[in-house]
Amino acid sequence: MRLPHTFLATILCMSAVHAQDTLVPLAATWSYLDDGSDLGTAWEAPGFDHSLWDSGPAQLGYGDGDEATLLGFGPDSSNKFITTYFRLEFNVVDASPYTNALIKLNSDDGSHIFLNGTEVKRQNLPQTGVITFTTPATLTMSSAGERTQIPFGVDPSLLVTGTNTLAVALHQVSGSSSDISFSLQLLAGTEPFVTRGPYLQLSTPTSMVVRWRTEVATDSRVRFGTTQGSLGSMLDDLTAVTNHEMFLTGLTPDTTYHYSVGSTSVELLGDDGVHMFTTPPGPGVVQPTRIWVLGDSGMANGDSEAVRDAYLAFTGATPTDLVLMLGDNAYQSGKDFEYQGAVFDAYPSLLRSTPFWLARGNHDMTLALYEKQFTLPTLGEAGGLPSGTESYYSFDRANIHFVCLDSFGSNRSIGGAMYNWLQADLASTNQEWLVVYWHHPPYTKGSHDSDAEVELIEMRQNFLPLLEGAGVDLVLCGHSHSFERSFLLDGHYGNSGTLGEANKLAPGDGRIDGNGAYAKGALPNQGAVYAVAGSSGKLTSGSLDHPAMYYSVMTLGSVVLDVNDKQLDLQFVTDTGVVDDHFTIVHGPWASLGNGLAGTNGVPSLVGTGTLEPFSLITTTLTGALENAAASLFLGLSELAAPFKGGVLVPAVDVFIGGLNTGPAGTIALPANWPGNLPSGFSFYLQYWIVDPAGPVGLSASNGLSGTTP
Amino acid sequence: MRFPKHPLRTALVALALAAQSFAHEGLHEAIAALDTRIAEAPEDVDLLLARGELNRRHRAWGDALADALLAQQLAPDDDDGLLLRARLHANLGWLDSALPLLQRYLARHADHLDALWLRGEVRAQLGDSFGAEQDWDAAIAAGPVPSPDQYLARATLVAARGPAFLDLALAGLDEGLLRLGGAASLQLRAIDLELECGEPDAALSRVDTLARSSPRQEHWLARRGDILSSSGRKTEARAAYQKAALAIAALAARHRQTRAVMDLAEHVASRLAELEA
Repeated sequence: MRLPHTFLATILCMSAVHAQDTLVPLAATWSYLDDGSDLGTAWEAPGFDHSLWDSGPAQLGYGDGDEATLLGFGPDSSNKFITTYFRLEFNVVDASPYTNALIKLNSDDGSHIFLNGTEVKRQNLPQTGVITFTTPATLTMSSAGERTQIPFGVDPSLLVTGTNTLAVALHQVSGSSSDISFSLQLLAGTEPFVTRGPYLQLSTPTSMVVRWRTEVATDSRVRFGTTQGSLGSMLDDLTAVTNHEMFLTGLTPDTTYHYSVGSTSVELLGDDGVHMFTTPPGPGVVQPTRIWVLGDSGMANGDSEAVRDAYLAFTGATPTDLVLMLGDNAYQSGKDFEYQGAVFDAYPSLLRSTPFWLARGNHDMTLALYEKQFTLPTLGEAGGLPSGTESYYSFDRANIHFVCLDSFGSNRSIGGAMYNWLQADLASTNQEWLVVYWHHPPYTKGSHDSDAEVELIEMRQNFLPLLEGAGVDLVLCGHSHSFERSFLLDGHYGNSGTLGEANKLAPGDGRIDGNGAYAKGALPNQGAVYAVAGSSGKLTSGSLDHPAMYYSVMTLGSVVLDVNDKQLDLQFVTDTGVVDDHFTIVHGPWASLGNGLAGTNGVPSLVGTGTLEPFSLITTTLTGALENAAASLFLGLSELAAPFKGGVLVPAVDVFIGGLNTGPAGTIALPANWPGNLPSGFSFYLQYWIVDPAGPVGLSASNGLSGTTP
Repeated sequence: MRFPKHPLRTALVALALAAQSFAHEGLHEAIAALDTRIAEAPEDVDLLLARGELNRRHRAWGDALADALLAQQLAPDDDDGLLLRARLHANLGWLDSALPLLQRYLARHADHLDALWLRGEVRAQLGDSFGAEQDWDAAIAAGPVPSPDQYLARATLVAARGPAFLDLALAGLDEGLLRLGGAASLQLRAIDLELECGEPDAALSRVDTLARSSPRQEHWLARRGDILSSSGRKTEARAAYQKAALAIAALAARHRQTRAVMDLAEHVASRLAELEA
């Protein structure tokens, strides 16, 4: 509810106080003492004389290169001063109307803060006992943490009309630490401050969870409706809380809602044209769906910002329907303030309009804290079977079934709770697409090695057979800080050295503008593409030579996934906005069956196009073969898959077409009209064999290809 | 702390020390930061224990033991050090020495859920089923959000004592189903236990509960057929299998032709053939 304008005007007139005043700006000029002196406790008091101190604008510090004012640390870089002092006097015209005050603190490492002589915060310092100028900060501040503005409430009655004093002691974690950083913003007002969000969670076609945080406990109110400025529905919760979590129900599928958040006494944010969301369509509905996928994004640094900005520029006016976060969402260890910087302060425009779905990584260390930040399904609320835990879950969106697994904290064994739930969940979905995501990748040679690390090995050995048996299309993971993506794979559960050509169901790039899309037909084990997208916040080197991968690169970026009817497109968008890799998976009558045999130009690729509807035009296209080489096409009505000439003969040959030639481009395209009298489910099998001296017996072979009439 | 003198334990230590550390740059960074701080304050017990815990998570058992040993020398009665040593001993399979460490720790921190759960695991591995159950009961009851794995572990422990304890195991699962909101993994285990109890109708009721959450039915219809068949209710079993076969046939080709469904179809067909014979 908004306060009546007349009442607001009265407040403003009486106090000259706006709803929110910045009393100390982020770039304020502070007096500081960086000579290693021990000032005891005198420096805390308002009357302390700091007139001889140096001064400079925030951010103040050293060691990061982003300081507006460079501080000293003493003569010994391996034994830097532990404590640096800051003081600031600021004027308040009239402090009496203020009912709320908020500090946003950027502090590396610890800060001891006094307002008008009263201690208001110990940040990253012992919470009890005496703090002296030799007391080190409790923890090393991660690079993500030191960029975060940590918000916390301050008793507004400490503010006085006239001159006020902030005094801060910044404490190093150790004398050898490389950097310190300090800036502080002080806000005051007549309404509670929203310090987080609002952000959307757990969307279903008829419900949405809206969450936000205030610096003081209030009751909760969400108003919502389909017309901005006329929000006809309202949900209240009279419990006073700082973490507000409201379950909006009774919504209409595929409908845009505007909303506002606040308390029963004041509306804080929203109903402004940017606080709005669109409910998903019902399950199974065919609708273009855009998904943004972030892996290991939790650095809260310039790299993650560049990745974000590149995506926002890339997607432009195309709305993001949902966001997947693949774990390690907040470095270094998933503390509350790290989530603040790496998630809630990092993606505010998306968070208020798009539901985020998260997987847990090894840096999301504390499950209870992770679960406190987010609302994820446990009861099958958004589709899928109840998992009973937010650590792993499933949900539906349009014609996609998403499954999130927990490769970090849950039992990864066959027969464990997650495995058994997954098996039942997969047997229960009738969605067209199956997209599965978790943190530790089954295949990687990035900054992690899937041949060596237990989480990665167990996920590959235990879960991939189950997923592939159920027809999974795409697996998304993070953990390695690079981008890697596989061929269309099936049946590879061993170490990288055991991957065979038979595991690559399609040897090509999967690109419509290249060797053709990865085709998945109505046959068992049609394969999946495995992508590692862990470079959304940092890069870490690795050999990047896993043989399962078609493409591997150490470049910052994120994944954009578009699903429309029977086509799925994945694009890797770098931090500079370049589409560095892309591929397409199509569900249809054609299926790549692998078993190609490499020749001079690698494994020739065979794809089919056309619907196989009666009398429709179809084309089979061979690419990547030796140029100007003799070739033969083998056709059969059943699959043989038997050893042949150093490779595998896929069709049980009923028809042999010889005398073909690959021409100067190494390609053969054969168009045909499909007969009109073939029954549904009729299958046929194709494979090219090419004379090629680079093959083991002077022959190379394309992958097998099947077609099945719809 | 002394390293164990038992030959088997000595071998375990050697194996652990030789084990290759798993690459994990997040832990590496944190450990390296602590290395620096410990070099400045080599007798800071908190720092040693923090690094010991990170080394333990890193499976760098030798380094973790070294940190724990030094911390113990500096502060023999430190509770955090006690817990770190207990965890390390449990990780290394030194159950006999892990248990008294946990007893000592829990005597002072009876409500520490991780320690309670760990003592239950140690007790279970030492064959003390009732002691383990007691610990796990307490950990589950006090835990803010117990995991399905915890309920499954307890049910497995209790059920392993024999038929007389199956009801108790089931009750534990039902407690979990109530608290977690119908976790499918618990319901599936409960179906198995109902059958072990000779309660096929109760098992069928649980199958129906899962089926109600499922857009597809063939899997649950086949499960009904299996339960009915094993209970000698052939006519009902045949009907269930026939419905399963029809449900499979009605699936979109994309689902009907997955390996999982083809295996299920084969199972249903063979069971139907057996029932017809």
